Amino acid sequence: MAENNLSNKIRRLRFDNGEMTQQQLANKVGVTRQTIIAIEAGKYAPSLTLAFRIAKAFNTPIDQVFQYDNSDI
Amino acid sequence: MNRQQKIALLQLTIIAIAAILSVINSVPYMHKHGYTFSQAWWLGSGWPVVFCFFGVVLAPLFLRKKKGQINFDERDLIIYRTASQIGFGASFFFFIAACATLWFAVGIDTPIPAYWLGRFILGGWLTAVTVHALTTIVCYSFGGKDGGE
Repeated sequence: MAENNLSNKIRRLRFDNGEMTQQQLANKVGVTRQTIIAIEAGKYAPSLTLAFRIAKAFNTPIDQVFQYDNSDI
Repeated sequence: MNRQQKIALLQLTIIAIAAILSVINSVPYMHKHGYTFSQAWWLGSGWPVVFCFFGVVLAPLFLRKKKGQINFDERDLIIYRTASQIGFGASFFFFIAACATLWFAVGIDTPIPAYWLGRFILGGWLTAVTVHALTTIVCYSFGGKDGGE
């Protein structure tokens, strides 16, 4: 699988937003719960569109949700 | 486990059952009727292959989509495309391997029966379906690469 330098704070943001469940977030952004699980675990890097949708679901800027480790650039 | 994984598992199960049934069905042709392994396999795998074909093709119908729920998203699409590409590649490899094997086994100038072409097509299709199902299961286990196109 592709090297993944992307980390995220989705789990933290879910709990900060009224303990939102993975299923609720999945329904809000239009993906399956499995995809949210994979993103949270860092196993899957979402598309830019989905990343923006997730950020919008939390009413947060995208850089507060996803962080890119660019130490190798 | 989502619908795609269940379909892949069902297809692999059907293929495995068909393979076992083919072996069980072929043995009497070899021992009682004295056919060679190749002939016995061809005769014995008849109805199991038909069962396998319809089982694999109809597998998605047995596992219906859940209404009012998102069943397929960008990650599923990426995994589906990856599995399709690897499955197609494997079937192409099967055709090359089958042709090369024949080349060395029966020689360049020896004609082969036309029904062997059916075997090739069936083998290629089975290879594609098996590899597609295996890749689907493996990709879901490891996350499914990156999104974004």
